[in-house]
Amino acid sequence: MTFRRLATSNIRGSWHRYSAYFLSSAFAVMIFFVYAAFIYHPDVVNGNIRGGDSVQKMMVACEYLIIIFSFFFTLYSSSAFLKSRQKEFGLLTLFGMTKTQLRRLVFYENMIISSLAILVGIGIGTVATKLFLLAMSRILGVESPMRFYIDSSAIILTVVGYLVLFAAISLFSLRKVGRTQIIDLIHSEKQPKTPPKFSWVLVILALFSLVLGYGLAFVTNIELFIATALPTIGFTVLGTYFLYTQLSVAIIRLLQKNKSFYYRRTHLLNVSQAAYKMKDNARVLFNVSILCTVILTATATFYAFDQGMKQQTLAGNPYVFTLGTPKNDIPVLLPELVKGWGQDDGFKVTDYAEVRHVRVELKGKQFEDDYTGMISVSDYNRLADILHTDQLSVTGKEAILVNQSRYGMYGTEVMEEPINEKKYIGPMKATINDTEHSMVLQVTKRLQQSVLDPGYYGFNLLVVEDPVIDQMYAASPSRTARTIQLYNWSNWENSIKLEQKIRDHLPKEGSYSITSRVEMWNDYRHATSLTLFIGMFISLLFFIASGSVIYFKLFTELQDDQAHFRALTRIGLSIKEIRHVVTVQVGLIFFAPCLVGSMHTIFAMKTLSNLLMTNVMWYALIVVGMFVLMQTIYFLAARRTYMKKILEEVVI
Amino acid sequence: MAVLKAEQLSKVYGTKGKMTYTALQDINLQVEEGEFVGIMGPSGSGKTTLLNILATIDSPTSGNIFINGTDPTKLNNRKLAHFRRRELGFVFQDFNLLDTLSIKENIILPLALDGVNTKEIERRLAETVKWLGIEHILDKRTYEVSGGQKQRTAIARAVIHQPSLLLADELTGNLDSKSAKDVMIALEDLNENANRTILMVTHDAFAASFCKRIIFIKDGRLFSEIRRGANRQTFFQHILDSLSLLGGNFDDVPTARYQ
Repeated sequence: MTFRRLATSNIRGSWHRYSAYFLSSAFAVMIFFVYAAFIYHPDVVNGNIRGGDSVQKMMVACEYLIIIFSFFFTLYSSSAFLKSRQKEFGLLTLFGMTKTQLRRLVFYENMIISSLAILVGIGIGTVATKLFLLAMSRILGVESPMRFYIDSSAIILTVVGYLVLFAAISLFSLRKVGRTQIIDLIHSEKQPKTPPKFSWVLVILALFSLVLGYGLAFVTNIELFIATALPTIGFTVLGTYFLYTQLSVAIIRLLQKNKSFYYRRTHLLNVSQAAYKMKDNARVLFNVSILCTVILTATATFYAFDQGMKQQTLAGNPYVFTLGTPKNDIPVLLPELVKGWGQDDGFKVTDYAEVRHVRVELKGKQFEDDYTGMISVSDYNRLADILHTDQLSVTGKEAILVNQSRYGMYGTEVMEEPINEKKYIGPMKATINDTEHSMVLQVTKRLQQSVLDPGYYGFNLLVVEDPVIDQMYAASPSRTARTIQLYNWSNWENSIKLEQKIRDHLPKEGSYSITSRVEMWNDYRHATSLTLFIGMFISLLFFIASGSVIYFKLFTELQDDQAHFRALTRIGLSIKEIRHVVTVQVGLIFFAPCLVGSMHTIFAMKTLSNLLMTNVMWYALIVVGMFVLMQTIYFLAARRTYMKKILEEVVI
Repeated sequence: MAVLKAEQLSKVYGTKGKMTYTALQDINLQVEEGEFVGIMGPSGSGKTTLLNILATIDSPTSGNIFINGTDPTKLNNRKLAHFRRRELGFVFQDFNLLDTLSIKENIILPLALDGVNTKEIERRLAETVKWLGIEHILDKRTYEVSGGQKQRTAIARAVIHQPSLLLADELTGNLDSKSAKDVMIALEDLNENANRTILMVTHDAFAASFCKRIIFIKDGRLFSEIRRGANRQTFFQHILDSLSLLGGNFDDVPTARYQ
């Protein structure tokens, strides 16, 4: 048998041990490759893509991140693999294999797995690149999708980069192989397991840290954040560490004290086993929990921004395109023109309205002098029609105050004191800005509704009878009275060309106020959507890798566990009970970090909510929910493999 | 009353038409309540196969087994596990204690799995450990006690649920002579004073000399049977004689290292 044969059969024989590591490595290679393919894509290199430059920079940063992550992940995994094979190495040395041969064998094995990972990563990456380019073209709003092309530099960079990385780490971790005495190697697995211990002081410290960390996260706000940020993180991390090393053991000890619980059926096995599983894997579980927290918080934050931006775009722009022009001007834009252009490019104008707007100052004991606009009730009702909201009616000198500040920064509803509606009811004086012309009106009602861009047309709108507006409009100077054109057209998400055409048509000089959902949508898409999309792959990579660390941990003790369950079947543990015990065991180490990470994330998002003064909890819950779901799938797959291995040894 | 009855047991390895190997052939065996039976035979004689079949972790190619009137080969997997848990107790050469549990927890495991209440568990534990003289190590961990104590713990675990039959497989194989003697004395005590029915497979003539009856098997068949008189020393000599008559290879465990 040649060396290579021995190496390949070693890998084949213990594939279950390598599979998760292999999967994670291949996934890392794949993402690295897909990004490289994008970075080296001729369209990006030649600057044919709008915003391609900044995206390229972002991706290069991601490439570094992936490589650094791969480095630590591979380093950890390969030393863990070596540790788990001590006994095997002891036997091989016993049979006369020299130190050099042993190292060569391990190096061969590592390189076989690495090459396979690179090969599979690039293979799947090629397919993924096709989809990735399509998705990127769409997000970037490129007219003709980027063609499928993979530059040879991308392949070379990936292959060489990862080969060097894997080889260097293999060589580095090999220095330990063959140094230990044979007898220690062979007995390495036979070290007795001392029962996990804990100290009450540290348990209290753990509880104290967690409560303090969570408490700070919960109450912090913009003023306090600078002072609380570091302590919050510090206490939470400290608390998490002692949660696994101390608190978990303490909880289990308490459960063991309760005999009528502990001595009931499989509880005896589950509970006693849990103490060891938690303590033995405390460091890994702690690291994975923190990693999960970071991934989840980052993803949830980006997601909150992305969704918030989207909502804000929609909320801040009730119409696709709004153009405000000073009064008395010759109309600068004719709706027929827009309709015609739309038809040429395949966009159908679905709504059009023209309203008159006067900027006034309100005086009255219940009003601060807010920037307020005034529109007629018939104009309002036309807008209400487009917005599918309730019609209003006013008579005489009555007015209805429409408050437009309902939406907060990130699209979710602002958490503020309920407004005392009554406070605003009553008489007030509306004065046209910069003039003496005024009118006393009776506010009869206040309601909340986004009607016109509050930035240009005021956070409050007074809706008055048509004769009132006629009078006010006529009396105002051209600066404070405007004609507003509103357009809605179909498929507006992709209508940047039409929007550009309208802008080009407008005279260079003149004071216009343009509110364009199309433009905002396009800008936000470049910023948050792209970050979210690209970041998502990195999150996914971290997720798979952290799962594979747990998976690996599970399998390092496989032989002990097989013996354990074999002994148990002999004394009459049924297959059903074995399944139950295995599920609890595997579930514990898969879900403990997942749940801890989720809890941390929810508190981190509470902090974010406090900082933004909007509620982003919903986004956190979606991200956490997705994560728990994916972790469950991972858990089911791991349990399946593990159960198979256990039952193989147990069933006679 | 017969606790164990085996009729015409055979075990053939290999598939039809290919090379087959007969591990057991036409074994008839009966163990009465309160008996202490040893099974001896050279390596490859089929004693472990026989024990595995009697322990219901292997099934015979033909023949019937009745343990306390039930034929375990007719039970499904789940019922079989329960049957094993209630009717049988096992002691192994390598103890098979769980090192995540304390000595006490190891012993009470079968009762806990069977859903016995805490009070009853404590009562039976106290009763069982008294016979075996391990009261003082209950709170220790498995790695803190000697081999002999481990094996006595394993015996305690095997009998705490009062099984109809205690099956032991080379239980002194991993022990030094002093520990082996302690364990065998404890087992003898259980048999004589607690009226436990025991079936033991062994290589070891010294361990076997504690039995009341010994069945020798060779090449998968019953070979001979001897019964113990009043004196264990004489019985030991009988066993050695029978073994030399039986021939075969006993090298893996030195037979005459005691006395």
